[in-house]
Amino acid sequence: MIKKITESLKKQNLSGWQIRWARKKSHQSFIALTQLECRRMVETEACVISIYKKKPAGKLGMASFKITPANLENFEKEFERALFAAGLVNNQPFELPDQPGKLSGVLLHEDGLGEDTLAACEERIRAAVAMEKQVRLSAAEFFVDEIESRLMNHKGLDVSQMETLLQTEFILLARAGERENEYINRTTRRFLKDFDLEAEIAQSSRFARDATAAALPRTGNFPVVLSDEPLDQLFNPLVARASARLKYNKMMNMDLGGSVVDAGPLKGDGITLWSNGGIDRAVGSTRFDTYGTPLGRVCLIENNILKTYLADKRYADYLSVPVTGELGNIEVGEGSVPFKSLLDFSRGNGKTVYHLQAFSAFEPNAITGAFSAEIRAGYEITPNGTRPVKGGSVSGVLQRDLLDCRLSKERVQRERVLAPQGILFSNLTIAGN
Amino acid sequence: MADRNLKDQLSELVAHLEKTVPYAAALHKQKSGTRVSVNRVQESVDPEDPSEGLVVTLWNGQNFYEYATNKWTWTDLKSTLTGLAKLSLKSLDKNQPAKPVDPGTPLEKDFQTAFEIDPNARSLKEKLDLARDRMNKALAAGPNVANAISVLGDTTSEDVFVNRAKRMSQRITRVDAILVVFVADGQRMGEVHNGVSKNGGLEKAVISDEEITKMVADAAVLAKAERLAPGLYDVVTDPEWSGIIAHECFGHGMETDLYVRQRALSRSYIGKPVASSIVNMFDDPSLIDEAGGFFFDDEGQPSSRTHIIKDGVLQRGLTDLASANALNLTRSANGRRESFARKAYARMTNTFFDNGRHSAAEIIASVEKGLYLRHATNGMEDPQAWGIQVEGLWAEEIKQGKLTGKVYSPVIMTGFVPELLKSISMVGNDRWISGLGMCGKGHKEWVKNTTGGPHLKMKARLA
Repeated sequence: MIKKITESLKKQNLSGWQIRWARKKSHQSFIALTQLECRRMVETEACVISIYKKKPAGKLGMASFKITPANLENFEKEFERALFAAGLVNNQPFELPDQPGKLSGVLLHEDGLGEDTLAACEERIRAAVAMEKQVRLSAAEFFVDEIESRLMNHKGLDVSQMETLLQTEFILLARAGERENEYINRTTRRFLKDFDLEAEIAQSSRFARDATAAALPRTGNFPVVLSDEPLDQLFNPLVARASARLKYNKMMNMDLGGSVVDAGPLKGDGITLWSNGGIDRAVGSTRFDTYGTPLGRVCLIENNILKTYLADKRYADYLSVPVTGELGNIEVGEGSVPFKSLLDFSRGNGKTVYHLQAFSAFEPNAITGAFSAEIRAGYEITPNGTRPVKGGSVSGVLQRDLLDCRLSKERVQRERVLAPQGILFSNLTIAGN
Repeated sequence: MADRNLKDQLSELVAHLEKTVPYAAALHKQKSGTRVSVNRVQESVDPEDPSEGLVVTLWNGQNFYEYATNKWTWTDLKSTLTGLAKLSLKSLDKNQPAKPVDPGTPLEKDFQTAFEIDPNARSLKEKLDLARDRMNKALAAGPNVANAISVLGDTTSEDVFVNRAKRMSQRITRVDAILVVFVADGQRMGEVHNGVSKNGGLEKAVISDEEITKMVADAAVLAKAERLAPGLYDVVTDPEWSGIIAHECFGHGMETDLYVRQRALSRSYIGKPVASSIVNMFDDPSLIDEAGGFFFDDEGQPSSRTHIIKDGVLQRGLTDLASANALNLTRSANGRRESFARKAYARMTNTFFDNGRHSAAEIIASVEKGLYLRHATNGMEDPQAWGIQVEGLWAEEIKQGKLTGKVYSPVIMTGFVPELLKSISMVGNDRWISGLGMCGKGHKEWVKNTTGGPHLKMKARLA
């Protein structure tokens, strides 16, 4: 399929083209309670072809189309349609990259994963749940994916990679008297040795059990430690402030050297943030981005100051800034305080601290930095003791609240984030009782 | 309409597989269309996420097995599936009873949505000009409009479903007109999105000039808005916000695959009051003009209306084939897939609160002190503990029955579902359905659906 498409594109009068090909094989299983409900196998293959055509007044026409084995015979028709579409749009020109030097050897693929992995995971999860008191399995899904991809363009760039993904979503139920609560766990890893189902079950069981005794938090402004799930999304507004795409599209107005937080005295730790596509086995790692740019580690924000725009080849050309490639993993520098001392904050000053670890949906607005989310798993820590909380919400504005925060010195590798294990915000709004 | 040859080949395949397993079905899904997107610095005209593929379902008497692919020859497919059918029998637990699957009432029919203006009859240039015109109106509608994204999309989905009782096809055309405006206030940015998504032709892809002007004005207000003090408030929700409450409270909680997994508290409340007696709620894929509408679901069940809450009393759930079969429930048409490559689950379609008898003006006038909620953005369910979260951008102060213009943003509503629904004291007569949303099962399996309702008055915890 690739050969036929490449040969066809070479014959066309284009100023550029790019082919992104991917073949995916996925083994999936779905368990309801403890019984197998469904087992699936999925095989797909597709090419996304982008074509570029120079236009008068220095503009660039561009369009994309998708070809699968099922519609390969429609290539000519789809190409003509895309060519016509490219003739209609007027964009600022940019250059596709040349063949890069040596790509990184970042570990993305584990040999031997497949259908047998599913059966082993099913057994592991049943065994792990059986070890837990008060807890039973409601459902579990497993996906074992192998993805082979290749990227080529008219300038001779030709790069490829193999990757594996292991994904699970499981739901645990915990009962105490008449009350039953659930906890949903979603975990994705690339390698089996990182797919620690037993540890995930242990932590999720604790959340599920504690939820049966949880109460609403109090209403007011409190110090809050965020750890675990919210780390996955917390830094997105900072990445948005570094985005060359948003800058070019006038949705963000950040200049290099500017502060990514609001004006005001910095009372705690500053944030240093990298895009890092080279962390072995991490889900956000990749050898190259959408345009074929090799991904490494690049500092975007240093001590709250924007140092570098996150720019793929297109937006780097548009803004005349260095090409960093697209976002890999978000890496955030550590602080100087042990994680445990963040949680012990209340003991020193008599204040109540909330330690929040999971939400219904924690998705800070990338543009405004505002966040509000319903609490699913957390603890109220006072000098008199700790109690679980669930329900109610936490709210804040990241750019404002980062002016007074403490980062733990321990870091954790999550799917796409390598970050301090916990962050203490001195003053977030809690809405509860 | 559907290729008769494809139906014949799928029928032959199903008949062949049912020599080995008690039930087999095949679904061929194809999607194509165009998406035009423009803003003040960029333009694109691309296919609307095209896909084409086949999924074959086997039932061995106890479990489902599926094979999905977008590359096959009929010979290879038959061979692969014959092997899978035989393999599936090896997993049968001889200590457990086998159970049949009902293939449904025999039906051979081709369905198609109606439209006045066929999207395929309009040139790409006409669509691009329409999107550009809408963007230019937004950019000119205020002094500080930083950018506006205007999207015009059309999608044609073609499904062919075959089992031993049914040979059906459906062709559904949907149009989307979406506008997002960004208004700057120094370093702060106000963002508002709006638009329309409906099954049908381009005649429905309309955003009026008045609506564009209002969006820009709202975004300018949001750029300056302050946060709300947390507390329990009297609130009036607009139809968009009401719709997300419907979706999150007893939409997800009524999906019966959650019943099989014993993670929906609602199962024990069927026939019991869960809301104020003036509340009625439906899920209805047979509203074919709405973006969540279809003629049959991804498991071949013809669409029909489900009355979820009747006069405040919980009625019945939304089924997929697996859960209906496991629980011996009458099927509803809610077995839906993100694509041919994904599993079917019990999913909502067009989900909404029904009309009551009050006008929106009467409802707002009845509030002594409270907030008017608009611009809902998203929500999340908790079917086992009945928690709910709805987020939005706009909470406008109401004092002595009048809107004061003081706006807080963003705002989050949280609460206990029965408490929230039982607090509903007025129901509007202005039901409106929004098709802009997509719905996930948890955080994946995205399908198009709609949410809606009239204005509602209730008490809610906000922050």
